[in-house]
Parts: sequence; C-alpha cells; structure tokens
Amino acid sequence: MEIAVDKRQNCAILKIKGDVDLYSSPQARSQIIALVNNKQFNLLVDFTDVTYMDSSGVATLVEALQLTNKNKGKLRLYKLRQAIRDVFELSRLDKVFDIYEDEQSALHGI
Amino acid sequence: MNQSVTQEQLIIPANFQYLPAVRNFIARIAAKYRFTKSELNALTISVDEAITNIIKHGYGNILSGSITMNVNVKNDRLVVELIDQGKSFDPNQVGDPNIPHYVQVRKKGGLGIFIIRKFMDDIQYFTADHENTLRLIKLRNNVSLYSPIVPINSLFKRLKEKFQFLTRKATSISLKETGTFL
Repeated sequence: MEIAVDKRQNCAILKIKGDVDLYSSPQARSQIIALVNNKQFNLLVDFTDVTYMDSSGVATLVEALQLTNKNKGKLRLYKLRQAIRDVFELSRLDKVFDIYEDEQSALHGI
Repeated sequence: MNQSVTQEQLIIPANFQYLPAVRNFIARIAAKYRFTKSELNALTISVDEAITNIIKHGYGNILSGSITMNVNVKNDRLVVELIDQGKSFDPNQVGDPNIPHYVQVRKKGGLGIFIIRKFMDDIQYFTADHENTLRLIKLRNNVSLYSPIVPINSLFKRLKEKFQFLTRKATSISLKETGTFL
C-alpha cells in the first residue's frame, strides 16, 4: 500500500493505493494521526486506487472519524469502488461516514 | 441442483502474511468458475476476516499452526470450509456490534464477524477430534429469490432453506443456553 498526501489550504487529501488490510492499515493510521497532530483536521480520502479493504481498514477510518470529529473537522471519503462500498453499506457504516462520488463534490463546503 | 461441481484446496501456515495469497487464490477460483463480482467480493472479505480470527483467536501465540481451506463450487451455492487445529472459536457466539456505539468508542473486535455475517447466507461451526471446521455458505446469485421468472418450486426451496438456517441457529442457541451439548 502507498499513501500520498496532497495538502490544500483547508484540508489534506490522502490518496491511497493498494490493499488496506491488517498489514497496511497501521501505516494509514500513523499517517492520519500525524496529520491530525499537525492540526490538519479536515481529511479527504481518495479511494480511486484502493483495491481492497478489510475490517482493520474500516477500524482505522473509524478512528480517523473520531479524531476529526473531536477537533471539529471533517472526514470525507470518495471514489469508492463497489466492493468497498458494499462493505460500508452492508455494515451500515455508510450512514456514519460522509461518502462522495468524486473529489469535487467531496471538497464542496470544506 | 445441490451437487458438488468441484473442490479446490489451499493449505497455508497460520500467519497473517499469507492473507494476500488467500485473496489471490479466491480470485483465481472466481475467474475459473466465473463467479459474479458480488460473489467474489463476499467470499474474499469473509474468508479474509475468518482466517484473521482463526490466527488471532484460535492459534494465538502458536506459530506452527496451519489452516486448510476447501472451496466447494456448487450449482446453487459456494461453500468454503476453513479447518484448523487451534483453540475453538465459534463466530456464531459473537453478537453483532451496535454500530453507532462502535463508532463512538471504537471497541476492538466484532466488526470482522459482523461483516462475514452480512456477506454470507449461513455460517456453520463444529469441532471434532481436536479439529475445528468453519463453514461459510454463499447462495449463488444466478437464481434470484426475488426474480419473477424463478420457478415456484425453486423459490419455495430457497425460502425453506433460509427458514431452516434460522431454525437451526435458534435451536443451537436454545440448547446451549440449557447446557445441552450438540
């Protein structure tokens, strides 16, 4: 898994590439915590190149949501492929996360 | 209709580093037997989560364990059996997390089994001769329960199977509560 961070004026976009699983999710977690520690409380996650995500990846995003909420920030996810969207929808986590179709709509209002 | 078409097998050491190999194995079978994307996705994440639990809870600190995975491709269902010799860990005994509460406190554990339950049609677990078998069953999508073109006898059969799963689960819980060993 690879993560590229694109810092904008009011937010940071995490572009994740590859599988987010038990092995790689700690790396994503460290990256998110580092951004929040640097007072970057609005986070967007670009799922375009995320090929797979398991429950450890979901748990990492839940932690990111808690961190951003606690700091009055926002966590937005976009461009989820259907297989990953199914995980969110079946577990009803789609009601908890802000999920967008594309970057433009995810950036709206940030 | 319920005849086994074929069986594929993979044996892996009980180590997290083999999870990508398991996912690749499922992808290869899916291509070979033309699973739908939905079937592939359901099997991949369910098997991944189940193996993670076997390694974490079944084998714990035991590094020499192994897991045998049998995939039975049938006309109307996909059946995956995961066999291990670790500590018994029945996912049916784990309740569903309360999602809003889970998000608030991010309590560890429970989400993987919840995901398996959502993607699979039935989960069976049994232990015999120091060997645990977890059976994950996914009814195939090619005959839709809700499709108007489904013959009435097929529809009735599938409804009956769904009902039997629920009845078996309820009986199992009931007997466990009264201390009867199945």
